Amino acid sequence: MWRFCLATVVALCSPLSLHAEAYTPATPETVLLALPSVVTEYWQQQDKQQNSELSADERIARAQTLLTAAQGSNYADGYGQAEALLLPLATTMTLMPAQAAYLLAYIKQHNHEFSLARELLNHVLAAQPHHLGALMQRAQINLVTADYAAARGDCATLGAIVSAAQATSCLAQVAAVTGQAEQAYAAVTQLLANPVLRNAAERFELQLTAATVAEQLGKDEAAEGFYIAALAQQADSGFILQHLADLYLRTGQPQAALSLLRGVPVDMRSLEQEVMLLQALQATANQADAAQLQQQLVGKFSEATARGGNGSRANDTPDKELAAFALLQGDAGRALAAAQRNWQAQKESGDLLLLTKAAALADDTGVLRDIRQWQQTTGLQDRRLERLLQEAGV
Amino acid sequence: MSRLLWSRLVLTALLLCSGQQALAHAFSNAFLNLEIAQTNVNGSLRVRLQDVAWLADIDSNRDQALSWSELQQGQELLGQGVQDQLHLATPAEPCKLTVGALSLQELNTGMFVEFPLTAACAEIPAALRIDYNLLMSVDAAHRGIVEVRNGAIVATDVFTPSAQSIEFSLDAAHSQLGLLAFLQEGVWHIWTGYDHLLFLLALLLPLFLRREGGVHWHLPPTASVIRSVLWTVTAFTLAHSLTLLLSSLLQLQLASAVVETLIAVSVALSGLNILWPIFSNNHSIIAFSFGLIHGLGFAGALRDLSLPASAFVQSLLSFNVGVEAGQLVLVALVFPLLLYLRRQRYYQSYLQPLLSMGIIAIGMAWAVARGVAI
Repeated sequence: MWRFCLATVVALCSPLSLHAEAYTPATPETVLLALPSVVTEYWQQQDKQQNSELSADERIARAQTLLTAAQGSNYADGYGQAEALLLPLATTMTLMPAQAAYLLAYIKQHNHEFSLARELLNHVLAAQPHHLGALMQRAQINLVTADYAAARGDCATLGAIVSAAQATSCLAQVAAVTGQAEQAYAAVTQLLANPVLRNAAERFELQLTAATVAEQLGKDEAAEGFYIAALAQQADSGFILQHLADLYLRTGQPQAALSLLRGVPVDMRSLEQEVMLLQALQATANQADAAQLQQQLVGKFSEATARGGNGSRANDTPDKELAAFALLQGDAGRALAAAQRNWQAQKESGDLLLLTKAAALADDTGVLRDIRQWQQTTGLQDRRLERLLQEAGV
Repeated sequence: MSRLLWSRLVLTALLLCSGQQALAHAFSNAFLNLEIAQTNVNGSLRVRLQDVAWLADIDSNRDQALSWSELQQGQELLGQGVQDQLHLATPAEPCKLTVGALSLQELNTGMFVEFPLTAACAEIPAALRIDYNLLMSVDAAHRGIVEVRNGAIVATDVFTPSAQSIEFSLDAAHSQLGLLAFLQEGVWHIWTGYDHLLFLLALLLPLFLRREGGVHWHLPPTASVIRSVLWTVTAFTLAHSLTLLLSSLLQLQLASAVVETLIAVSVALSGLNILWPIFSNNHSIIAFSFGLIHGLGFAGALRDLSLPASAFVQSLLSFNVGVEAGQLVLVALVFPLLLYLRRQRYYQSYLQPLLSMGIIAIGMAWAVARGVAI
């Protein structure tokens, strides 16, 4: 523990003093890196024309390709590269093509720059009021930023252009955090039980909604079942893996969480998954692996902290992950500070639970009382939150 | 954000709403570390391996795989890419940047390609402007994390697409942080310089309780103690400030091993003086004499910090003020304690003799160890 504290302090105080070790490949033929096709295409295009000379349509098409790679192949650099292509089109919002604004909004949303993303989506929806993707994105942003009335409004608009199952899923997610979790759960599970519902994509979406609401209601076994069913459809879903691993860790099944997270290829793991993996390793007494991962995470958070200067964007410091990591190490001050910054940006149940744990560890009754107040105001039903608050005596 | 709603429902939205958590926060970072060395700026640039292929077209066989030989063969192109997109300049004129042979470095966050850098400037930079355009046009999420050192002055910043040009003030005269850094170094030096501390303690002990005739303990009146402490500390301060300033300004240097050995001897002799008053009551004269040697020791420490030429005197004074401040804090801590202890029988009988013997032993051990190095 003390070694970690020392390493963290040193690393975070000297963000540039990253551990470095010289590496010389065994042979000249040693392949260091598989290059994404976009790099090759970039240089082929450079022979023909410069980036600055690309037309708006070409920029949009390339950005779309990069975002597809970012999503489909977890090519994380695709977000920044797509943004670099789109930014020259965003100098004047009113002149920006709707599709460019839509793509840029997605990147901003990914970066947790919700206000900018919403502004861009408003621009898209002003031109195309029934733009499905834009409506869906805006509803999601409204939900995450706790503008529940606006989220409900977007769901209602969507209801006119999507199926009943889709509309139900949308409304259920809003209802689940505004005092109607039981009703939301009943509506979603009834739909899932209906043999008429055969569309796999619709079932998948409803299963995810059912799983998250079930967790809120303390129905952990049911939640596990829904996650596993959804995972059977989409085995590489980071969202499901993360939620299921979290459920396992929370319900005292660290070995199951470990198996799940170890199944994710190392280069595909998100920072949040790595923090969970560390928790699972520690809980299952894999001390050597835990120490190694911990050292890597200290380096990653150190680098992330170093990025946060000079007005860098909000996503430059992964506060949620940092809070979870600090919480795991018992660093109450850092955990609470990071959890509070994260809560300023996004307000989902997971964010609130994280804030509550950090406040409880820091014994900050003021923050805990604010959380209780939030819960009462929104009508949020969440057994996990209730238990944490009761344990903290609030 | 953890999840996008209804993500798999609509084909047109599939691209953007896959329901997957993207690989969050896989950063595209480069690290630029620079150090001023007279008219040169030396350092390194570390670029993430994944980003190197964007700097120059180095996948020569177009097999979408980057091998070690391709990286080495592409060295010249990459060096040119760095030179084209990274510019250093003093207020007077641009510096000439040279990029050395690349190597691979494994950091906690992955593999990086390191380029050694040397920039030759026409003058010692009091300020350094860096224009950093690397990768910004291809990746809006790229960040260049920079650290510039000039002696004890350390400046850090981050290059972003909206901040691709940053000027670093390296002149301590224009940098409160720089002067503060030297002040802190001064405090730190006295607090961690155990030989100076021990010498100071050995000077102070007989001012509170001294032996007379080798047998009887004498307790001077408190007012007299205060006067003696003030005189002694002032004499020590004046002496070491004098040699520190002269040595630094006139570039006078004694071999550090000699200075360090003499300092150790001063500790041992002062310890001896507690038990057998060899200096009689001339404590302030002794403090001054040995203080001259200790000042040479401070000057040696200051040389290690490489004072910026452009703000030499200010930095020197800051360091000295730091030393004095650190010294005063210690005196303030010890003073009431010794005032109390000197009236205690156990202190008179055992503790002070033990302390003095300890100081003698440590001083002698240092003297021997350091003397060997001469």
